Amino acid sequence: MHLAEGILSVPVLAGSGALAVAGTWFGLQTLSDEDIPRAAMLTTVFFVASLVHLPLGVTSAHLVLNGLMGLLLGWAAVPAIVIGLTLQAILFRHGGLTVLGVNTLIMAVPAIGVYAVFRPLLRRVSHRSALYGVGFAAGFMAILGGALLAALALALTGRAFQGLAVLFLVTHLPLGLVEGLLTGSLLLLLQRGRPGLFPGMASCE
Amino acid sequence: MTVRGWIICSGVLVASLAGGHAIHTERVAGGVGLRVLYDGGYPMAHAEVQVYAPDDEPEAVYQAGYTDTDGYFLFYPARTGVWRMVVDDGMGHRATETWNIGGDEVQATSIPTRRARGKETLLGLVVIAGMFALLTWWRRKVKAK
Repeated sequence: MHLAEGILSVPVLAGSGALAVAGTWFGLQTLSDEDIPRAAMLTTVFFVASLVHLPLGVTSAHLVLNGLMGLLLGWAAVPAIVIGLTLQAILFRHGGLTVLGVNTLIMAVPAIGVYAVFRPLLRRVSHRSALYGVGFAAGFMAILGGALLAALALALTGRAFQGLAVLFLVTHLPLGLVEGLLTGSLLLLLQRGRPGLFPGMASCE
Repeated sequence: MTVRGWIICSGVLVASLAGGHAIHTERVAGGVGLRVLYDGGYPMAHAEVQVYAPDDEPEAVYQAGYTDTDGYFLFYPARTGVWRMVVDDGMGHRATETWNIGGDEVQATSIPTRRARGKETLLGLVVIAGMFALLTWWRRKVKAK
């Protein structure tokens, strides 16, 4: 899902960079001292997940887990994603430093969207199956949202959006399903092992 | 020969000159090429490749084509100098490779596509831990003031 350097126009890079800086600043403001260990843990997971690759027909993608990050961190997912992407660019040559802003938005905006839509649902679920469903939907939607944003970024540089959007959505469907299954499973695991990780979540049985 | 015969002969002659070029093929040895792989090791199949020749305008495409299903693309550099190939899968992935063609010397200047990443991963984990530890320390310091 990382866009490479040398493809996007300067206005797209500059605009996305400015938005990413603003999002990072706001995310750091919302990150409480108590949540720093959780943010560190999820940044680590995000950083390492990029090494797990899946062939997607005409392209290749890796695990992102931005849905899980959004659910657990909210706006603090933005600085966590920035740190992870920076290290991926420097150490793994995924993306690049000049496209750090746009890649941050591609992964962080769906994470925040997932937080806004699905986090309130976590307080209402009363069954583990419902918890799994919320996790699946969050992971699935976060990937498809990122795919749409990647298509939009390329379209802003002069390519037709509709064809790109269809191509990105179709090729990222398998990854979305995998991320949905993973996110749902991880939520169940976290709820059982660390119920305190979800301060607002009802106890599920 | 009759007039009709002259007309027919002339027509055949003109037709053979105008549209009857024979095509010859030569087998060419050498050439350079690359295989394009995604980071997970999967071939970048059917990706667009643009070749830029030495001393041409930077944006003047010398040759264009596509990688095959296994990610291979080969071409024959007709002159010495630095050749550049840009591979783009149309989905945000792009790679640039340069070749310095000089006599018998063929030198690729790109980096290997895949490496063991144990050290890089470990370094990344240490940096993440350090950054969040630094953030914690800085916040405590600010609060103490």
